Amino acid sequence: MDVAEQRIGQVHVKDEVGDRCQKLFQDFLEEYQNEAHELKYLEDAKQLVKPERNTLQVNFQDVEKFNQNLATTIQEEYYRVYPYLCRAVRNFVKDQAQVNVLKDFYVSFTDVFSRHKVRELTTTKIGSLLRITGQVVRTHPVHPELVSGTFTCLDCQTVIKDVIQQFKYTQPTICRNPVCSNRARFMLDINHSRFVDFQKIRIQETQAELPRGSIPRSVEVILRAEAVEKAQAGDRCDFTGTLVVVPDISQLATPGVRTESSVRHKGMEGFETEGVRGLKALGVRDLSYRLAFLACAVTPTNLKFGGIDFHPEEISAESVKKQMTPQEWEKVYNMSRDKNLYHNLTSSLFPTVHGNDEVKRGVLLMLFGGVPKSTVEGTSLRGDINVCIVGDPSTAKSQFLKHVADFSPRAVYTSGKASSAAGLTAAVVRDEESGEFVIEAGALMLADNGVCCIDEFDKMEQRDQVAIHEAMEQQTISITKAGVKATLNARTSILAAANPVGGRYDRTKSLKQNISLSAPIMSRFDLFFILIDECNEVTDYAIARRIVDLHTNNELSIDRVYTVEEIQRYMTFARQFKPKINKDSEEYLVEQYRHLRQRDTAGLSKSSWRITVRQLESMIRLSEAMARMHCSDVVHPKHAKEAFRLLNKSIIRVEQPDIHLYEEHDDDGQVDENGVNGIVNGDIQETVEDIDAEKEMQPQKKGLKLSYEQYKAMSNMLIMHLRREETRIEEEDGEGYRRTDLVNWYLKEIESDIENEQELCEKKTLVEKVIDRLTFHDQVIIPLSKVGLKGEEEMEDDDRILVVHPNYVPEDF
Amino acid sequence: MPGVDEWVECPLGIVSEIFAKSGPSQCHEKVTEYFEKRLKEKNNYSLVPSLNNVPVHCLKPNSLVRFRCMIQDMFDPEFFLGAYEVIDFRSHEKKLQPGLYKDLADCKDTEEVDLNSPGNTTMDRLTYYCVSVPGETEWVKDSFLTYESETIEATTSTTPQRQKRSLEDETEDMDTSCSNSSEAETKRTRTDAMQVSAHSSLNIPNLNFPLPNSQGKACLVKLYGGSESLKVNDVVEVIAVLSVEPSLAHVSRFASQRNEGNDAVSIGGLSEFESEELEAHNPPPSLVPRLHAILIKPLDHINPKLPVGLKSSKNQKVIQEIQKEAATTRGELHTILTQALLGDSLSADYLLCHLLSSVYTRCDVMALGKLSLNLTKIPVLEGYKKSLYQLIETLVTKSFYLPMTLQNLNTFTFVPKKDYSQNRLISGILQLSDHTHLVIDETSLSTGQLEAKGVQNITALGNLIKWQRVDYDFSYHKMEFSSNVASLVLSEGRSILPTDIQVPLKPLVRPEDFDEQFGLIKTYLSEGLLEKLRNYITVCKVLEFVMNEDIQKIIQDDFVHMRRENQNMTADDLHSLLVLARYLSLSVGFSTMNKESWEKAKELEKERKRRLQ
Repeated sequence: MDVAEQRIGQVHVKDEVGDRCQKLFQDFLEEYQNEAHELKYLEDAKQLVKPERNTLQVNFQDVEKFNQNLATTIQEEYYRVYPYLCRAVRNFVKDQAQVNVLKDFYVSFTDVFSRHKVRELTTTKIGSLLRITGQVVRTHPVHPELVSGTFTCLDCQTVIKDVIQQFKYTQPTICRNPVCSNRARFMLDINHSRFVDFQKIRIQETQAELPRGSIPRSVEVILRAEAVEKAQAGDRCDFTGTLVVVPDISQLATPGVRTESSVRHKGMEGFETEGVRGLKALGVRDLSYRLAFLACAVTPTNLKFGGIDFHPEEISAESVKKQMTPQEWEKVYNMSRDKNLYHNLTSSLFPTVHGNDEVKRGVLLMLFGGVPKSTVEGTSLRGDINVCIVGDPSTAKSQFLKHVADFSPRAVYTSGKASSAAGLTAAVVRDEESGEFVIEAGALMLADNGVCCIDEFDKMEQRDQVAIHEAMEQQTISITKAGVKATLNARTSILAAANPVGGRYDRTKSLKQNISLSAPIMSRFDLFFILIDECNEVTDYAIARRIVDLHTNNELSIDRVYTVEEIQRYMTFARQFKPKINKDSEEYLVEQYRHLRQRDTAGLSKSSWRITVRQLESMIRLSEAMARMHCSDVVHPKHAKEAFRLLNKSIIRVEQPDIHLYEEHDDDGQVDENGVNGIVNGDIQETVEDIDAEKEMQPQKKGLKLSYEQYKAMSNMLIMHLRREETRIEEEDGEGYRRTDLVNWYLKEIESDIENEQELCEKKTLVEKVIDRLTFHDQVIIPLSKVGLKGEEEMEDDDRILVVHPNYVPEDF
Repeated sequence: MPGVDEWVECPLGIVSEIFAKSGPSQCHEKVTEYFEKRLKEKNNYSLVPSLNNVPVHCLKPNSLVRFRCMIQDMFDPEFFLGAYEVIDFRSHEKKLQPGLYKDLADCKDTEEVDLNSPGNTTMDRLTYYCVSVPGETEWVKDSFLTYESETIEATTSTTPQRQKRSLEDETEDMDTSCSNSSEAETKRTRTDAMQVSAHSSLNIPNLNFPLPNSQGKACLVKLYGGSESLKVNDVVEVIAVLSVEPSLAHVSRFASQRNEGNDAVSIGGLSEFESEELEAHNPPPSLVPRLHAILIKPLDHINPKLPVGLKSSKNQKVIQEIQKEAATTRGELHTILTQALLGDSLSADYLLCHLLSSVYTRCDVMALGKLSLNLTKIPVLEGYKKSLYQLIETLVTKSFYLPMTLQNLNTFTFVPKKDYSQNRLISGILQLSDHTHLVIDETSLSTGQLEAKGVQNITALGNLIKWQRVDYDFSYHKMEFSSNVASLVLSEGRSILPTDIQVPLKPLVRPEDFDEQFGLIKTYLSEGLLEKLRNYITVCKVLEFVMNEDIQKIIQDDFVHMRRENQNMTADDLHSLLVLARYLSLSVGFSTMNKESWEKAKELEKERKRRLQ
């Protein structure tokens, strides 16, 4: 018997399943119509005639719709029927294009349902159609692979055609010429052999699939034909194809050793190849094999939260949905219907951080992000929300940052003090006095498409702050090195934490005076939060409880409505929404903006930055993020309202705290937590409700609270008058202006505004308190005490002679 | 005797027997069962030679060995024929053989493996790259050695004659004998080290030890039966069949040779990219023996004098005994530490708590239980730090001394990094197993340029101390691995590293007299006392601890009270206090928090704060 004949015959052995599949698949190609009742794959197939094309991409769901049985067969017996499917494509092209092209065609499937983890790839999965996700870590160069070789026998010149090659170079076992018994000397006729592009890459388990504490597994992927060069190292991709067993590579390509074709039927692949022969000369039989994944289609994944954007515009909520299992989808759906979603998300996201609800909300919205837009001129407007947390030491700032860095995979956590990018240096400097070492930082790296958490933002070098500045608005970073200027994309949200100047937040000073950041950088933050470590019995108890619980390992204290994975999944899904602002919200936003502007210009506050379009943009971004969170396509007024509330709570509004006059004797309490520049979030004590409640409980004191503007106006009035009187008295050489005089004068001035006696009393107390404050707190007015008259002094305590501090310059207004 | 030891000398024979009875799918289970039973028998455990003490070339191939190691890397799973059929081509006799616990099919010259036999079964096994436990202190090694030395003679059929030999020789002829004394062992490793430098690592692959200049062994452990519960950096003891098949060494050599020839006709075969990986994954078995694990058990500690699995009920008695004596032991330890810290009792209290500290739970990002200590104002005397470290070294089971010089920071690899061209995890200093004590000497830092690597190293060190996590570098992303490493920073001023607690040293003795102090300690530390202290520290680290409602209430009230009195009291302070109180309680043998410890913790903190001002 002719051995070669036999071998070829082997390939063509009747496989009924294969033949049937070929026929059915051809039917599918010929009959399947899309919505417009056109043959869906006709156009594509015609394109394949072009020399550079050879692969027909088929949506697997179409096959399923067309014939469930066919789809099942393909899925289960993929490796077995694959050659038949390719043959069907070939026939289809031949029929439709009316040309006989001498090349191989391939088919690739997309949108395959069965999705597996790299760790789940076991021998039982061999041969069936699957989809896996992995990060490409290594790519090998593309080279041609011999698909089918034509050989010339060097002994008798017989030409042996179509020797099927699989994974390795395969010579005919014996010359087909019956009289020639050559088994080894053949020459490959390259011109008459067929090749296909071939590439090997290695993919690694994604972080999401990795069990904690394990090293990620990797698997080799073999790409052919048009699938080559689709994936670059670092990309995260989906691969559709099948698992094959290859003998451990070291044994594979032993030259000159007889090999057999591995194209056989399911269940046998790989086993019949050379694995165990290996180093036969040594009498050694190696017993190991490895798995490889033979992929027909490569599609980039962006669907994990924070993944690389290949084509951001092409990803829709639909495609994200498709990536999820039904259970996952159901959870996401339920979450979107959750009435308490906002609250539940915030509490689940930071279970170990007590209180600080506003900060949590802000950070949550930051994670959802606004919609990036670009104007007609091509200027792009960022959608990322930047948040800055300013606060006293040990108010869980770092914990916030670490949480976020932990939560989103593409986040960078860095400290402003010791940040550095590759290639840049830092210096160790010794502080002469304390003997402490200090690191002077280099520049830092930013994560494109992620969150950049920068601790100790204020400690950052000026030049880095400039770089950040650029990143925050233009979303790019420029690096000038060795005369070359490079601009890198840095589409990132920034979550920064800064310590106040002097270690503690001084509430009598403005935000700007409290942190050493330049105004332009400050204005790039959409939200500012202020954490103040405040002593308050109730909250102290809560903190103590929380910490003790942590240490006693009391899990109950942590109320997590959703797991981190659920939130991540939900966020991925929700982030695909691109909400539009509707008419109502637009009006609301415009109204609020106008309102803010007016207050800004009309008010007496010496605001360090005025309300500008930036704040309007922030408001829009925040409302979009709000809408996204609720999976809404439209920004409703309620979203805008929350955005406005947050913005209002944060930053800008009032530069100076309201003045509490009723607590004058107590140096701590001049600030209303509710109104300072930003949300003065005490370590815990910040919930607006609390404060509101507190206020309601003390209505009688309400009138004694002044806004900063009112206070300033009043004090100026008093001081001007006092100055005038001073000069007058000096000229007249009088005794001096007494406190009672001043109070009376003031009451006279506002006489017209007072309607009843009660009001008069109130005003009287008020003006007295203001004078007290000016005297004892601001020390603008100096009370003169008479020297030597001790007994008198006490009596006169309430009615001293007042003078204005000579150095005091009244505010210009 | 030979009959008795058959299971040690030739375990594969037993495997074959079991295989014949139970078939391929049940085989591993039954084998594990059998050997477990065998090892439980009296003294049998010590009959198995340990790879930690005995050089590879002194061990019989395919015999049973033990190895105490840390999992450094996990390779991809491997597929192999769990059962294969061999045909004798003379007699045409067929025979089913087990493929477990071996690298190569063993068949005689007249036999061939029948690859198409339906009896063949494919199975998968995991390959872990394991190295000797990094930072294992000398006394641990020594006492394992003395503990076992009596029995080793019997198991390794050796004659104690030692020849100086080069590595190559060892690969060629395996069964020449040699002595197994530790002295000889170090000599051998020294010659090895010399060879490494001579050959400039051309032939000798990087064995991937986490710590620089460490001497130890590396093994490829093949795991059967899918033990997925193990994590990277876990310390385990494997009982396995040793495979040092010399022909495996040819795999890599073969690959590189082939590559040089650059065979053009290889299709989808070996490219130059792969040979590198192949070499990394198939180092010569003489250097990196293959171990086919029959049993693998995680070790919760490596104190040779204590039983493994301290928390299990059968060891309750041991623990209770130690707990009973805890108060006195603590006193002893405190005295010694006070002396070592030049008479500073406060610092000694902190150092004592630090030595007992261990992360006991994690809440999201926070690691609870860590107590990193920064001892400042360390006298800048050559030798003092060293003596202090040596003392710590004699007390704990795993430790590492890291001089934080600029050069070290700029050149050492701290963070493990995945090398994709070799497809393995290149180890770094911070790849340490749990309960390792890291002593960082910041006094050796000088001013100068810190390069990018240095900055990254400092950041990594800071993260380790602050969050007890190390971000392994996977090029395209970083991956966090939890660690449980107690770090002690010695510095002059406040450390640049974010430690939990900073204590300025306040010597009562003239620092110049430190030698005298340590001399006294040395004479005081008898072997018995040392053992007591070591066991005490090991046990305290793993003890369970509870805080009942009453004390919780007291603590909460106290905290509120303290806040009222002192504005600067923060939540972090409460954390420190709780941790401190925990270890103070544990140190005197209580497994519940008591009021005295809490009060003492408050006092210590008050005293410490006063010192800081």
